[in-house]
Formats: sequence, C-alpha cells, structure tokens
Amino acid sequence: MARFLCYRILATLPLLLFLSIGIFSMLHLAPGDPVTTMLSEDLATPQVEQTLRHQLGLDRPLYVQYWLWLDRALHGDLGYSFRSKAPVASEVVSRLPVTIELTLTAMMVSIVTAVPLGTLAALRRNTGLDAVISGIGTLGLAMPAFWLGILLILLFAVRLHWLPPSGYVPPWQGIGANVRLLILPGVTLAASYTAVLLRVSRMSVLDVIRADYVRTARAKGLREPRLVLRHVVRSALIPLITVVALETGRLLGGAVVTETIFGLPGIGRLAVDSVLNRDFPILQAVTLFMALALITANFLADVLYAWADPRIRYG
Amino acid sequence: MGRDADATEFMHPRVHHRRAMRRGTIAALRRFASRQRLACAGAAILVAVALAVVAGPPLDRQAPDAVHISLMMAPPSAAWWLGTDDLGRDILSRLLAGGRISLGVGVAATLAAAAVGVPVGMASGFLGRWVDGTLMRLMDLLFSIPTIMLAIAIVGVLGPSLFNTTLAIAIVAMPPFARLVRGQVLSLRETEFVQAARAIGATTSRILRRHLLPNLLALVVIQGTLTVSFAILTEAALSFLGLGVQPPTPSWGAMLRYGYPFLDRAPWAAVAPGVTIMITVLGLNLLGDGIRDVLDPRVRTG
Repeated sequence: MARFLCYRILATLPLLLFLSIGIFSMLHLAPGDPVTTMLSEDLATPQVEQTLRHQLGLDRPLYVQYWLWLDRALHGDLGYSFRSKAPVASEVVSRLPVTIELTLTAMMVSIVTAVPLGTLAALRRNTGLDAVISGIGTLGLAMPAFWLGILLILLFAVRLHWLPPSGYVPPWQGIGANVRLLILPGVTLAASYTAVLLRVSRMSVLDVIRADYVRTARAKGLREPRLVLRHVVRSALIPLITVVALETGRLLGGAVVTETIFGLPGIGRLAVDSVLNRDFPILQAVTLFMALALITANFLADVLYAWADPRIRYG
Repeated sequence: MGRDADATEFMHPRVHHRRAMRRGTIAALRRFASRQRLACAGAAILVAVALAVVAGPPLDRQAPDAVHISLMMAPPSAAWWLGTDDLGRDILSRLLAGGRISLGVGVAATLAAAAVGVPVGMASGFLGRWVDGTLMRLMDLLFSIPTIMLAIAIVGVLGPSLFNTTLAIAIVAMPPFARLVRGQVLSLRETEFVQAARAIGATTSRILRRHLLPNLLALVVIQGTLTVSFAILTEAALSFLGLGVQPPTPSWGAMLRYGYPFLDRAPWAAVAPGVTIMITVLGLNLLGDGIRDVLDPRVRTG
C-alpha cells in the first residue's frame, strides 16, 4: 500500500507541472490586455500603461514570468488581483469555506438519497417503483442546475416565502440563517449528481444481485435484509467510489452556476467574476485550485478503491 | 449489429454489415420502435423541437428582436402565446430563434469534438508507444479540470462570442471521444480480421479507414448523441453566466439569464426557455440510451 501511495503521488507531479504551464501560458497568450482593462479611459496614457505593465512584470519574457510565478506560487504567493489589488491567495482562501460547505452538503445529500433509492430500484427491478425512481433519475440528468435553482426560488422564496432567495451568512455568525440559506443551493447542486449516482448504484446492485455468491448466500438460507446489506450493497458500493470521485468535477462545475444564482460568495462566483473582469491572476488560481481538487478526489478514490477491494493490488 | 450476430459473427464486419443492410433497415427500425418505446418518445421530441426551430422563424410574423415598450412583461395570451419579456419582446419568437443558436452550437460543437477526438483516439490506440503516451497525457490534462471550469477559462481567454463558446465546448467534449475510441481500437487491433488485413499487407491508413472506422461507428453515434445534450446544457450554462452568446442574440440560456431577475413579475420569461432546454435534453438522453441498449448490449441499463 505504501509503495502504491508513493507511486500514485509521484505520477501526479508531472500532471501538476504541465497543468500549471498550460494554464499559465494559455492565460498569458490570450488576446486582450489586462492593463487597458484596469485603467479607466482618461488615465490610460502610454506613460502610465508602461509603468503599470512594468510593475506587474508583464513586460518580461513569458518563461521568466512563468518561473517567477511558479516560484512565488510554491511559496503561497499567487500574485495580486488586477481588479481588487488584494493578494490572490487570500481572495481564494476567503471564498473557500462557502464552496466547501456547499459541495460537501450536496455530496452528502446525494449519497444518502441515491444509494438507498438505487438499491431499492434494483431490488424491485421492472416494477412501477423502479420506473418511478429511474424516471426521476432521467429527469434529474436533463434538468440544468440553473433552471432547477430558478424554479426552487420561484416556489419556495417568491411564492411561499419559506426560504430566503439568496445570500450567505457564515455558520459562526448564525447557524440557523446559514442552514436556511444553504437548503435551496444544496438541493440545486445535488440534483444532477444524485441522478448520476442513482443510475450507477442501481446498475451496480443489479450486477451484484446476479452473482453466484449471492445465490449461494440465499440458498444457505440468509434472510433478505441481511443478504442485501452484507453481500449486495457492500460489493455494489465499490464501483460507486470511482463514480463519486469522477463526478466531483460535475459538483465543482455545478457550484459555479449554483453560487451565481444564489448569490453565494464562493470560488465559482469568483471564477465567473474574474472572466468578466479579465482578472487573469484570479482566473488562473481558481482554475488551478479546481484542477487540484479534482486530482485529489481521484487520488482518494484510487486509494479507497484499493482499500475496499482486496483483489486490487497496484505497483 | 450485436443482436443477430450468430453465424455471420466471424465474417469480415463489412460483409456482415452489408447483409444486415440488405435484410432491411425498415425491419430494424420497426424492431427498434417496438423494443425502445422511450427512445422513440425521445426521437419524437427531438423531431418536434428541430422542426419548430427550423420552420418556425420564417413562418413567424414577429421579429425576435422587435421591442414593444407598451407590452413589457405581458402574460401569455392569444396574441402572445408565451408572453413577452422585460423589453416587450415576443418570447415564442425568441425561443424559436434562440433554438437555432442552442441546437446549432450543440451540433457544431459535437461534430468538431468527434472530428478531432476520433482520429486522436484511433492514432493513440493503433499506433501505441509514444504517440499513445503523448496524446493520452494531453487528454489527462484536459480531464483534470472540471468541464464547466475549463470551458469558462477558455471563454475567459478568448472572450465570449458565439464562435468561442462553440470552440470551448468542442474542446471540453473532445477527450471522452478520444478515450472511448482508443479503448475500442485497442481491442479491435487484436481481432482476426485486422491481423489478416495486416498480413496481406494493407497499409496502416487503409486498416484505420476501411477496417476500424466502420466498427467504431456505433460507439461514436452513441457518444455523439449524449454529447449533443451535454453541449446544449453547457452552452445554456455559459450563456446563463453571461459567458456565452451576447445580447441581443437569443439563446435558451441567455433568455434564462435575462428573464430571471424578473422572476417575481414575469415568471414566464424564465420558465419557457427552461422547459424547452429540459425537454430537448431529455429527448436526446432518452434517444442516446435507447441507441446504446440496441447497439451495445453489454451496458444495457435495465
């Protein structure tokens, strides 16, 4: 296991390096000049532009800029936002709790609903119940997050006045308000993720249920609930681990849209704003952060997978 | 193919294919219709949406950009079937015109993604070695960023426009094509008919075009159908965020963006494009699942 871990971590390093080069050069070779964007019309004399460009280091060769950026980045300095002039690292870190709270909530909600429902649909396959559950899954996949969010706001905030339509309160300033504000975004974000997990858990339970060892267990007289929990669900969960990790991208991407609809000050919102403002250092940092989160999720999935299935041995 | 592959299984796939064709496309379609009810419903939805979007705008009396200040946020009525938006523009007209953009981007991005992804996957799977290594590491790189985020970053760099949005979606939709095709080519490469073709001295490019490509068709069609639905959703999301097509051009996502601030006074302005996106994507997903069940029995859903 230790060898496998080392190998897996080492294999990630080149990916990270190329990723940082790719993101860095992509943003810097882009048409459109951040300096002209930053300055208002009347201020933008060639003199001022020149000075600002020099201050930001934008007049140096690209590989020098990359090297300096990488060196600073490894020391936790990701540069300064073109727009707010604040350090990029602190901008990103201050937005993190919102996104983490939102995505983890959505992930928990999804797993807790999708696995039992998917198992139930598989156990009662080709019945009305299965059709209803699978139908919900199909609808959930076709439902764009922003559209569901709008419907939820329309129903629960505008019509019924049960929940606030948008905004954010950190948990340490009022846990009640925090939870109330996260219900609608949480459900919105969870929807398509739940739909995917539902389909996968149904299919993987169906696979397991036909396996020989399940028939053997049933033949030796094991009762249904025990059979389902001990033999079926446990092995059916293994493929699910991979899907949970692979679909983390869907969750992070969904957070971008969800945060925008519900006015949550998270990473996703920061990404959208940085594009609208052509704020390259921020866009760079957010893209790298998202990639890092996804790579970490895949890494954890590999480790969990190896731990859950004794037949798998790497390295 | 899979279902009636019995005695013909060991023949060259193209011979098999031609026989199946002779046996009648109509019979195959009829069998498809009786076994895949949901997929047919999906196809019906798509035909209806496509017809409306193609035939709708020329028949429409309203210009989608015509502003009627006196009719701002009018509710649905006999004259304005789906009501008007905050500028008094006819929502139905905009929905039809916007559909051309949304469906157009969806199809164009998918075609571009397949046009690059399929050759990349074939080269990677068939040539192997450093070609495979380089191309697949490149795909890993694209895979390591969440799709929407990657699309946002690309649009952020190039600037939001119809073309750049389509390009961004094509780029993020391409790696799955490459991976799927590569996997299939890896197993086809070892089959007898490919080995035989190689033994009689067929060139690599001939093997790729004449022997592998026809056998990849099913896979590409399935992936393509599902990619169109992904592309429509992504375009809608980008336009909704203001990073897609720019006003006054209508697209379903852009209509949602400009409709949702008026949710309390004119909910129809956001409801109409939302429902349209949903049923279109639903139609595509149902059709894609149905085709997959028929063409690839190994991954049957139910």
